Amino acid sequence: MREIRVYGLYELEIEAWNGIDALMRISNMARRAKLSYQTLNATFEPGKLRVRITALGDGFETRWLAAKLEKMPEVYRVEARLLKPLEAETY
Amino acid sequence: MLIIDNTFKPLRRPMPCWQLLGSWLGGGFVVKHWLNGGGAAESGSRGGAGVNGTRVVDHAARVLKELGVREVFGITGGSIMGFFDALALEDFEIYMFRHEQGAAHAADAYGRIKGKPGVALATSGPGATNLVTGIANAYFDSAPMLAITGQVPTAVFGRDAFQETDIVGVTAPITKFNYQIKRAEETGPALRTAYRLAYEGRPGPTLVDFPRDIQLKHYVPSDEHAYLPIDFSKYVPPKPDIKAVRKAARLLVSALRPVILVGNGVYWSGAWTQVLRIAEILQAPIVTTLPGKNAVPSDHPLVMGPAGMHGRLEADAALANADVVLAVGTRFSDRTVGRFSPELAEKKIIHIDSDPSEIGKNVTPEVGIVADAKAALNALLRELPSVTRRDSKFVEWLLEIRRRYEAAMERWARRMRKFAPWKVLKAIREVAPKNTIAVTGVGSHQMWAEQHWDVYIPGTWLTSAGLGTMGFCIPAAIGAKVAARDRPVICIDGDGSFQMTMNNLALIRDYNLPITIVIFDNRALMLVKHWQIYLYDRRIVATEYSPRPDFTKIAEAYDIEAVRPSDLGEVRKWVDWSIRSREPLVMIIDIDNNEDLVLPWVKPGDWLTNAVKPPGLEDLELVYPEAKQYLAPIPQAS
Ligand SMILES: Cc1ncc(C[n+]2csc(CCOP(=O)(O)OP(=O)(O)O)c2C)c(N)n1
Ligand SMILES: [Mg+2]
Repeated sequence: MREIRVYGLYELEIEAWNGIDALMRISNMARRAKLSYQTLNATFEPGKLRVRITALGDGFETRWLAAKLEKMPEVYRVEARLLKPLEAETY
Repeated sequence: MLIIDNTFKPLRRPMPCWQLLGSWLGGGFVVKHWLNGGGAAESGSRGGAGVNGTRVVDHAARVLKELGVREVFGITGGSIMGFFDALALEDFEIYMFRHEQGAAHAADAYGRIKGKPGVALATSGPGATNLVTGIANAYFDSAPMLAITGQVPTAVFGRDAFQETDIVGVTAPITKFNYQIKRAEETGPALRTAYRLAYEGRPGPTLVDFPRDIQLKHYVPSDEHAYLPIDFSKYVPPKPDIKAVRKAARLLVSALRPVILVGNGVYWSGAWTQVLRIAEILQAPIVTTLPGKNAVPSDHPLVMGPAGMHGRLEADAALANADVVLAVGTRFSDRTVGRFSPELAEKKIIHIDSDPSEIGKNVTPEVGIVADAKAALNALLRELPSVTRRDSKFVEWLLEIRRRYEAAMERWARRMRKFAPWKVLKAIREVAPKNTIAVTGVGSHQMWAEQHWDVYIPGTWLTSAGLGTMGFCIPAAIGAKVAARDRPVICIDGDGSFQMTMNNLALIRDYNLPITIVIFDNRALMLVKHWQIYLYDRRIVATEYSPRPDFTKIAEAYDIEAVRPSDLGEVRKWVDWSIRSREPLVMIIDIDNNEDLVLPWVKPGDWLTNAVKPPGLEDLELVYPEAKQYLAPIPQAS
């Protein structure tokens, strides 16, 4: 398991339950990842919270955050993808 | 394993919501109607002390009872007294702590011993915030506990009402799950969910915040959901990936010096038999983390003890000279390995953990296996030959380090003006039965115990490892004793740690909880003084105490026998007396704070083989001769 580390712009899509409290807990977790956040959009539907985050950083960090979020009880689904690889120096 | 590209999907399939919402408890509740002798029962919904058994709190108490809870720890107050009232009506044993932090540590320790969450209760505002350190402690040591906090009535939320604190916000980063009940019918599901989440998968603390108006509402449950809409299936660890297991087996069989690093995940998974078996097949030494000391018997010939900042020399040497490390149920803390690079990065690491976020977090493994430790090790055992031909030279070399280390400690002890802490621990161990639960405070005494206290039975070592919380010992020992009244419990405490939660000594007589407390009394915050001596040019700042208070008087005030032994014979005699006669004891051990330097010690950020060694071992080499040859630069052809 030698990971290929890719810097770039990542997107995380999260589906969760428990409204703004879940958003707070998700944000708390996100604060611990060494990523530079670009956007965060949240929509609240009955029984479902959808969050979309874009962040600049290392794929390894994104993966760590995705795994952490995924383990949160209120989170139903997490998907992370690399939107744009970047040179590390770019940021 | 995962390669980052533009399509990676973390780990879990989504679960359809209809499945999550599908579990109903169709009319399964029998609601008792209480007709208490105290005259007309006032309805709880009107905010009085009604005891008619149909309040939300009565339902909550019955839910806890159905879950098997019989004992709770806490302190009451305006926002939680209704719940205390209902718990008393349901015959719960309520342990009245003297500070909520103590209640939380007790619940944490109770959970570690029972494998089911301990329950801590507090009122809103200061009661709830006092729980915070204890909740954080349970979080960082992955211990199952459930905190239930009172909250101001929903009508005044956000209005800075008296004793209002957003405890859900405060504890969000230090709980596995937390939830504020907003409607009566959420109470049962919230409590069941929080209780279950505390122990399912990787254990951890959960919190339910319970507003006062909801507590006192009239409520007859019918058609109540069993749980909140949570996907519990995500806590069933995936089956070990057989390809990864095979690769791990190949690495281990071809390794020159395989070493097994054990974390406390091995204890939670009940996988110590598998660990020992694999070690025997491979002739691989076992080293542990500080909490992982709880997971394997110290007297097994291949167990070298804990490695790391305050590890044992033979364990540091084992880990440092390994070429392949099988790490199980550990997060790879810097405390265990000193530093992550360059030395550790050169080793081939096989990392087994049920939590995917732990794998690759601090070190990049050659093989990562996300699975329950026991399942993964069983799979590995199936792939390993029943014997391997590896000579025992490496293990013998480590055991020789152990012999020299122990001999040097004996010589050092003879030179000490007061007690040598490790000799005290060994003397206590001689008289304490094997199933004794040892609990520690935080500081040098804890590190001495890490190095010299033998854990014979997994599950008998309770320490605050992740958070390092001074004050853990007394309340945790109380919680452990409640969980295991038939077993001796010894609290190995420091004078500083003791003073942080000693108010909870009151519970020892109140509830007949005879624990044996040993205070390593160096009148100092010694572990910090140790750093000042080595890292701050001996500038001693705010780490030395006055002789106050007199601990014998403190013990007497709580009606507990106190002794100051003058030699190891007396230490043995008093501990034996306390355990056999089931009498609580406070034993004060005089230690000189100029001599109490826990060695070996790996300086922060340093590598294991650079450990500062105990006196007389300066020439002891921790680099294995063959490893040295192996690492030596290849001579250039002339
Ligand atoms: C609540 C808390 N405050 C401060 C610290 C920092 N700290 C770590 S060890 C230590 C000294 C502990 O003193 P004592 O309990 O007397 O143990 P000793 O080191 O003297 O054996 C301190 C202050 C801590 N770990 N926890
Ligand atoms: Mg001290």
